[in-house]
Amino acid sequence: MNTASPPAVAAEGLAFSYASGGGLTRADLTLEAGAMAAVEGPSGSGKSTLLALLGLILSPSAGSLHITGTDTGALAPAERDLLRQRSIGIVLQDLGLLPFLSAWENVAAAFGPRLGRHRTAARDLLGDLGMAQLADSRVTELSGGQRQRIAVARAAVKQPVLILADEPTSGLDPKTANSVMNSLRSCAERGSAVLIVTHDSTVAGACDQRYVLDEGVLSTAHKETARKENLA
Amino acid sequence: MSRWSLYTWKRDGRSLRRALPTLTVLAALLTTSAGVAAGAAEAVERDVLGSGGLTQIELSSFEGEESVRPLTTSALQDAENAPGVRQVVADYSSGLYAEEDGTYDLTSHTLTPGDDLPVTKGKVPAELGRSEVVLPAVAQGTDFAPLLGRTVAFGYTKATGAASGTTAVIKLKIVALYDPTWQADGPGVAYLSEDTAALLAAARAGQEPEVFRDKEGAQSATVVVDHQKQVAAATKTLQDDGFSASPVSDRVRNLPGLFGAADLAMRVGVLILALVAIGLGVVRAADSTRARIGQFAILRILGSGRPELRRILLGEAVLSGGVAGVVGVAVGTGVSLALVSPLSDVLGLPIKLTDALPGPGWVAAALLLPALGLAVGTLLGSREVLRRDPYLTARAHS
Ligand SMILES: Nc1ncnc2c1ncn2[C@@H]1O[C@H](COP(=O)(O)OP(=O)(O)OP(=O)(O)O)[C@@H](O)[C@H]1O
Ligand SMILES: [Mg+2]
Repeated sequence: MNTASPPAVAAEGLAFSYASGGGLTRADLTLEAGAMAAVEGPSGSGKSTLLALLGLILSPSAGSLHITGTDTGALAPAERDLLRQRSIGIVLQDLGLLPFLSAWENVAAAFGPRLGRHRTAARDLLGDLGMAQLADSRVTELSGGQRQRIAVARAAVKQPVLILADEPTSGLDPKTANSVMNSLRSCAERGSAVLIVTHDSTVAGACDQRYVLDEGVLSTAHKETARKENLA
Repeated sequence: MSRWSLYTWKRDGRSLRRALPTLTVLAALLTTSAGVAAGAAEAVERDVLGSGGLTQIELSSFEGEESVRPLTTSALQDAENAPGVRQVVADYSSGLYAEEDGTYDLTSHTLTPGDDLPVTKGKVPAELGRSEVVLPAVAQGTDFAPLLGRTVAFGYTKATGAASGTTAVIKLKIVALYDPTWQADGPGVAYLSEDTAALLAAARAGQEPEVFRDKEGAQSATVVVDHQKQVAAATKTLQDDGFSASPVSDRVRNLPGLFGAADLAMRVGVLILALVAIGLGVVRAADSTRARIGQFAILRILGSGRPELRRILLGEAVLSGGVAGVVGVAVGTGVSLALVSPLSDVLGLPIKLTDALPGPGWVAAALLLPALGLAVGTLLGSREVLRRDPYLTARAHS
């Protein structure tokens, strides 16, 4: 890895508040290419909000965000959308797949609406993840776990600079959860920076960096978690 | 238009494709009415103008209308002296009824140069004789075919006082029969020479024919000029002489009653098509966007901006409206062509298939308005929902 290249993500003093009052107070975070990080925190602490900010869906009310050195604050909305499409893969907690597309088409949709052009890449990836037989299924005929794995495949297929996953293992049995984590790990190994929001300390423990979000403030949790795990 | 529209429109039942059936039906209705109206107008125009209508001027007498000159003998003489006028034929209306067999009761009129009877049997002579008559082939249940070529006694009313009258008898030779569906002067009309028609009309008024023609005058008269070019000048002269005169060709071109109404109805139809398309767009786009907010949120995280989401909806609108327009015009034209034969029967006029093709203006309206209207409506209808980022809306819902 070239040490001179800018980090995949560099956020400084990132903040956002919803009209209703909640949101994110302060987040500082740096992820190098190939890093795998976890964000833990109680419900309502702002984890999904942080992800939406890093995913260029929401615009921060304060702070700066650089994606591979590009200052996202200086971009026009259309440029932000384009950067998201090219460089960021997102797996969301409650938003799944497009119901009018088949499984492989959902994966190919990561590249935009010219699905046919990315048919091979999408089907190959599903094959690598052991889901070749699901490729042509209608998404309404898939189980929750299968959908979740396809959503991960969709975020991973373009080998983006950054993968953001909001509780990708919630509601999955340990075996399926493990295969999802392995997929994300292999994305990191191929050079993507991966940020996972989770409530599951096993998942967090499998990551290289751990952050804790509490009442809208993000902090590193290296020592604390290390100590807890030593005690356990 | 976004490429995503192709997928959403084809595969998603909640897309704007739902507007398709309504718009198709409306576009088809508009096309059919345009075709039928065109067919009828063409047929009538060809019929009237083909029978010399281009060189004819119609004179009308309006009873009780002081400013219009009555069509008395001397007035008709004046008309005949107008420059370019070749012939003036006056129409007197009365009645003829069964004297021997049958129970028919026919209206009688002068056979004027404008009457282009579709003769089915016999032959109408160049000038109808005083004791000749042309009848419908069938009227009020009486079949006149067996009487063709024979001289038959007809009854007519002769007034003897203000409210009393007797039946007089006139013998007329039936020289020709015409198709009874041709009803330019109403149903069951017997056509006579000018003198005979005047005789019957005078008898009904209880007057001598010369006196009647001199004092009461004709109902209307057809003025024939030598050349189409003289119509305008002759009309002007006649109008200056106090006649109510109008070229027959004009009367056909802006046929006020039926075709005026059809034209107005079609204009209203165009307006309805446009308004329904817009209204449908507003309602369907708002509903559809709300119902699909989760999908739109996914498209957002996949890199779509709100302008692209709008283009997806616009694409669906253009596809729905475009298909509705094309299918509607095709179906509507087909129906219009299929209606040629029944319409021809109703009007009693031959209509060519090409007559019943809707005009290019109407076709353009039926083709384009569904897409345009739906697109405009979609922009309006989706504005409210797309004002907020679908990502936020979707998360707030879940
Ligand atoms: N769309 C929204 N509009 C208004 N307030 C919101 C919205 N989304 C989240 N919030 C508020 O912002 C705060 C942070 O929400 P967020 O969804 O980021 O929490 P979270 O850490 O992801 O919680 P969870 O673990 O339950 O998913 C909460 O107080 C929440 O009520
Ligand atoms: Mg959350």
